[in-house]
Amino acid sequence: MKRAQSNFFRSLFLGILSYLAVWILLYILSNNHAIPSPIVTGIKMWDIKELLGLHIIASSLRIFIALLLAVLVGLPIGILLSMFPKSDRLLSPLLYFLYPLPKVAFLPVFMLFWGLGNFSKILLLFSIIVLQVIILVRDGAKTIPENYQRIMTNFQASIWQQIRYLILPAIFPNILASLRVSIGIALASLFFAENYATDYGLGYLILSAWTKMDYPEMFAGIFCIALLGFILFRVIDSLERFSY
Amino acid sequence: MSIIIKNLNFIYEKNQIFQNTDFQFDDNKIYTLLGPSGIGKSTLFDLLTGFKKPQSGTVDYQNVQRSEILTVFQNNQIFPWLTVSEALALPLKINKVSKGQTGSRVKQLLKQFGLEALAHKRPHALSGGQLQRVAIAQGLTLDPKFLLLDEPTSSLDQEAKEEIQDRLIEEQHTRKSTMIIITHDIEEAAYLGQEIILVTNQRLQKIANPTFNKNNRRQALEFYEFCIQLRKQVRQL
Repeated sequence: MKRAQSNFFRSLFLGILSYLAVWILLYILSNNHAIPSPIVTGIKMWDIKELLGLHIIASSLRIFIALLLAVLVGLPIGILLSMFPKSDRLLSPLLYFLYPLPKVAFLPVFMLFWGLGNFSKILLLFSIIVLQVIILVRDGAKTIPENYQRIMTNFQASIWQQIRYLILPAIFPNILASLRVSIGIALASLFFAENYATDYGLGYLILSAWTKMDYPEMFAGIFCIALLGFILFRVIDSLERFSY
Repeated sequence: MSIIIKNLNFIYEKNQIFQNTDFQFDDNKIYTLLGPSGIGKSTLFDLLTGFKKPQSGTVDYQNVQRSEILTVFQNNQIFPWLTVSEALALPLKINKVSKGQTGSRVKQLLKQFGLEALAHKRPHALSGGQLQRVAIAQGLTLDPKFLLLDEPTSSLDQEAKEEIQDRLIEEQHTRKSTMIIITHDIEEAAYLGQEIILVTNQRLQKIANPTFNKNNRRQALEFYEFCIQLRKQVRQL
């Protein structure tokens, strides 16, 4: 546990240090007020720390709920598609049509049907992540060696036992991979989703700071999104120890 | 207690694998199955376990439940995400054996197969011989009446091979169960099999195995003479 903690903080320290190095380089090279110095941004972050906390909580909750829902929905669908080839043949063309669509373009539609509140924003993030999860889970489950299925049949395992003792552990690395890919896309989309009809969220903070031309505040928001991404990636890394 | 094959016909991808085949596997014996690759030895296992259905004919289980017949496959028997003790516990968990009983059974098997030091290791950290021992131990967790082993010593060095062979004889002797073992190794077939079965001409042909002195079979001249005869018979297939 202590080792995991020290790994986390060492990685956080290295992440922040390299992020700051790139930032300082850009600050010096650009010599433009649109890229403020990290020190000025740091002071700004301290000044608005309570408000910043609320923005971080709002964005984190949206991302977390969307990720959770995407796994809860995507996992069983992906598994079912892998187990029943007929359903895969039927549904895959639809998945391939939907997958490349820029889901952010549907935000107005989501808002029209499900209002301006959190639900439509979470739904947008969910729609981006869930397809990723379905496809990677399905493909992962399809690569389970046939022999493993025979071993489970050999032990008289029911379908539920096959899912619990074979499919879920076998596709665990695929679930983590799908979440890794999804987090980046979801954070980028979060920025877009939080530009409308909300007073809280890092996306809102960045855009409102931009319109006020308050660049230190804008960079404070950008830094927090990066930090949020870092933490989510590290959480997934820590789940890796349950993998094989 | 026996498995009786009657007038069995099985065709796979237009190839007739078994034709009007009859055979009876009795209890408390070791059978070894010999025959060229692709002749249908593994298919026979699938037919015995019900994994494949014959086009015609029957596989009758006399005083034995389908769940009492288990196969130890040639490769990938142990899931890579399980430790040795978890792998041994898996069949018991699936069969809803209580936690306490599972724990004591796993401990017993670990001790019996000399796997205690490896209990928390995963398959990638084990040698071929150790993996094979785990696979056989896993096959025995539910105390099957019939244990089908698909090439249990292939890809093992001579020392590990002999260790597994002696372990199989010992286990069969203790449990009084039946083992049916697929092998390509003539000496192994002669060493292990109380009855040797040649899979040939879409049928199963029994060859009587002379009883050798069990304690020093590997040193007995008549054992090697029998192996030479057996090799000739297999070459003629």
